[in-house]
Amino acid sequence: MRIPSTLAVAALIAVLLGCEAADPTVTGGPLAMRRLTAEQYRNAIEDAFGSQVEVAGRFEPDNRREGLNALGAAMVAVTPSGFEQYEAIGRSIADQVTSPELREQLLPCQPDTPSAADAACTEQVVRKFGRSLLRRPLTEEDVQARIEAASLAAETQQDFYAGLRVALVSMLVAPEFLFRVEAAQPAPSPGQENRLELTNLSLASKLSYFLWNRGPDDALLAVAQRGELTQPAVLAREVDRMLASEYLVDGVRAYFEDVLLFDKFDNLSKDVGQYPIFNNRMAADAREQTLRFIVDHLVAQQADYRTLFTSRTLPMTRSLGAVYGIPVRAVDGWETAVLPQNQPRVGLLSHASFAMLFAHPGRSSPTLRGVFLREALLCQSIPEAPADIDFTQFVADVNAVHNTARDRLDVHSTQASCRKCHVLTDPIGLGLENFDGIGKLRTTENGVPIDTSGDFDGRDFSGPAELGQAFADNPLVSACLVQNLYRYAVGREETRGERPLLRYLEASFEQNSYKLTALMRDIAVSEAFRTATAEPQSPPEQVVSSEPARDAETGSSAAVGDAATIGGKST
Amino acid sequence: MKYATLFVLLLCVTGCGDKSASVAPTDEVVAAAAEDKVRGFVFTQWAYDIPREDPGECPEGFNITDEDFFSEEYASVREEVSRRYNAGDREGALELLPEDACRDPGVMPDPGHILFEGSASVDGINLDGIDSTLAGAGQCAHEDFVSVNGEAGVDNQYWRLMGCVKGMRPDGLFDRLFDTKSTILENGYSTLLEIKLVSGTKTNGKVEARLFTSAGPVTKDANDNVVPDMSQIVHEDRMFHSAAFPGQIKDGVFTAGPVDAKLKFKVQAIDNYYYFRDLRIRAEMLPDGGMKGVLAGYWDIENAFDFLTEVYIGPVHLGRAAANNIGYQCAGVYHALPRVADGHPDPQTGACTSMSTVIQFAAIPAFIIMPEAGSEVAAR
Repeated sequence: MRIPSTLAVAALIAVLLGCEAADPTVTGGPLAMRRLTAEQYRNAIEDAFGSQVEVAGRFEPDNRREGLNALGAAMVAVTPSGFEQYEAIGRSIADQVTSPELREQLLPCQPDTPSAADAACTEQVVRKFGRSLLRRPLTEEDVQARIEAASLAAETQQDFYAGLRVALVSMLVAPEFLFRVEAAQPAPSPGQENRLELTNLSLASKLSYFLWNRGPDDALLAVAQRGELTQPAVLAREVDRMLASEYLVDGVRAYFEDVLLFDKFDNLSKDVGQYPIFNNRMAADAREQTLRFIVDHLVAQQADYRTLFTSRTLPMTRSLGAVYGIPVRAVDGWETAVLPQNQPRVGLLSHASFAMLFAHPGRSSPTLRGVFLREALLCQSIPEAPADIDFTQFVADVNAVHNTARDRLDVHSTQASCRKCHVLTDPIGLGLENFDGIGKLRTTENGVPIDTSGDFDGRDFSGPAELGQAFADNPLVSACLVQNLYRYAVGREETRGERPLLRYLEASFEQNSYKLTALMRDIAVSEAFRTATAEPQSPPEQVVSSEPARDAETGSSAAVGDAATIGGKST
Repeated sequence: MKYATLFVLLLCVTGCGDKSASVAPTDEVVAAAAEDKVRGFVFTQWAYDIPREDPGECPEGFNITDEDFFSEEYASVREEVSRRYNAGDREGALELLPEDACRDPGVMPDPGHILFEGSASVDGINLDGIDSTLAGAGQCAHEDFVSVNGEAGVDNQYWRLMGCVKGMRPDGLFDRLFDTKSTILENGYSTLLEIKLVSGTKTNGKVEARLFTSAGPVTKDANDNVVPDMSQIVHEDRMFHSAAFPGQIKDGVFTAGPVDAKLKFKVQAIDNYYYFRDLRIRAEMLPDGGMKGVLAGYWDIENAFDFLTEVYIGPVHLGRAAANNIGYQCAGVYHALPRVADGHPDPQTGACTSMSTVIQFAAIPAFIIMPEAGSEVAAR
């Protein structure tokens, strides 16, 4: 257990007294600047223009760091070719918005003459969509620059809509749209000379991307624009409103898609000779099944996070029914299934999604599964395999004496350089060997019974069900969720100074019966979430952010405080 | 162009998915399935028994078709038939041909039909329990076969009817169609078998069985095989649910019957059902959980004639085109059917109304779900 004894005692006292333990006054770490993920980009377009506008094109690949794309998003730039892709996607969107089919529905005005510039109408359009895309009220400079560009293009091409497309594309390729730039103002406190407070608008974006995986809605922007969001009571009220919103599902799905490495589904393939029933539809269903399972348990039912590892209830489609070996009535859609008690399949670890993702195209992989469990669910780091490994002994050969993965790994682990990692990964990975490379239940491999017993950090288990229970009972599992969710929320690793906050969050998570939404609330209203620490190499008077400092009330550019706004930036 | 050959090129649309409400099977049902007390199977092979190794001889030759029988009439209109057919006027094309006994067998006298009269090593079951001979008493007298395994008394009058039809011989049209499993993979429905353990164990015990037609087609995998362990909803029309019938599993062999069953098929231009009476099953239980064996029973001869001749593409009746391809005349078969019939004598006339028929089949585990939401489920 990683909770320091003093904190544990404090938490216990708090429980006994019937009150919540106080959020330790911990200032957040450095500011972050994060590139929108593909999903966030799509959400932004849907929020601005509606679902009828399609986002066509490929985005630059995400950059996974410390197990999270959310951290990598703060360490990426846009390459020249990536910018070209953003521009192409932006042009496609602008074409759709100004198309004869959609313009009447989407645009707030018509030009006086379609063959000439119309500054008034352009201004209405820019103001309507700019606030949503840039996640803030537009400044006069923002608007005027786009009117001028649109007018020039409209006059040149004698087409109002051609000019409007220029204005729209300019917003769609704007760094402020493509990147979430945190801006803050100095707010030193005793002993914390470098303490910063996020601006209202930055806090609004940070909050909405954490909880909803999308930009702020009008209500949140309005609160931020009034300068009220940084008030703790108002912040708590807004967080509660957002946690009750239907968009929370998007936020929860986005987090688990990230931490469970579900982007790997985009490139998943299987040997159809080995797994002839596998197809892309089945893979998509497996991915969706796990996400629905998580949302159903943690959002709809507000269940204990640890029940994910022991629950036998899960959403099911007919094609997945063939994998799980259970009847499914639904022909095309989803229905809730309960796994039979006599099946070893229980909880998240036995889902087909994991079995498919953490396996080779033609066979299962206890090692890949073990690495995933250690890294994603226990927050432990497993070193990369050495480059000079001899895999020949591991490859299945029905003529050899090594019929099961356990036999082959035993041989493999005789090499000392391999053993030190495999001893961590293989025992738990072998516990899931009842599931083949697509998750279908099996009890034998090459005619030999599969032994799924093992030891998980000192606790014996006989198979996947007991392994799932061992995960549910292991405090490292919930502590890892706390760590990953906090990192996901702030877009970076926690600083040394933030570690007491993580201990507090772990204790509070336990007090709140391991409810995910309670943990999300704790993070969102924490002092650390709305503050930051200026990096020593950035003198306070130097403007680092690409976001101009703005008056929260009006949205107009102005210096805040006695210096300037400091924006975060990572490499 | 032989317009009749179009028949075999045209495939029907098999996407006949059901629209049942999505209500998950009950916990009890799932548990029963998990304990193997109830096992479900979906058929992966369905083929008339064609004795490949020893099909027997046809010393009188093979049956001819309407195209042969009316060769002069066909020749005189062939070009115009092709022109109208290719122009999309299929009804107009068919009007030029002699009257069609496949639509109405009364339009022409019996042209004759060559029955198979020798011996052949067919598969099947001794359905009537006796070693029958043509010299036996009554209109239902018939000559039994000796099976590949040496079992005497095997009843298979369907082979008597079709043994001298070219398309039914080994490597003939039907054989090739069944080789490609079209009756399964192109069928808009599938045939389901439920086995419920009554006493004993699942390897040696008394069982109760039921046959069903499903509401939709099978699911195929990447290698064009039927996906095992898939859920299949039973057809909502109870006509396609057999009654429960007794059976047993002993020494790795499943036997059951008799039972009357109507089993629906929608393959290529056929959208019909089989009506079998006193159907029996004998199948070997396979290590992979599947089974392989025969269905043997009495095929109602009126239904058999309908099944063979009710062939449509859209509104166009193509029973004669099918007969021309396979190698028989509908009128000949119509009049031959009572001669080969060996079962279910009419109480009034004493004439037999059904013919013994053998279907080779294979099946794999599947989940069988009754059509009513919340109703019981047969499982794998």
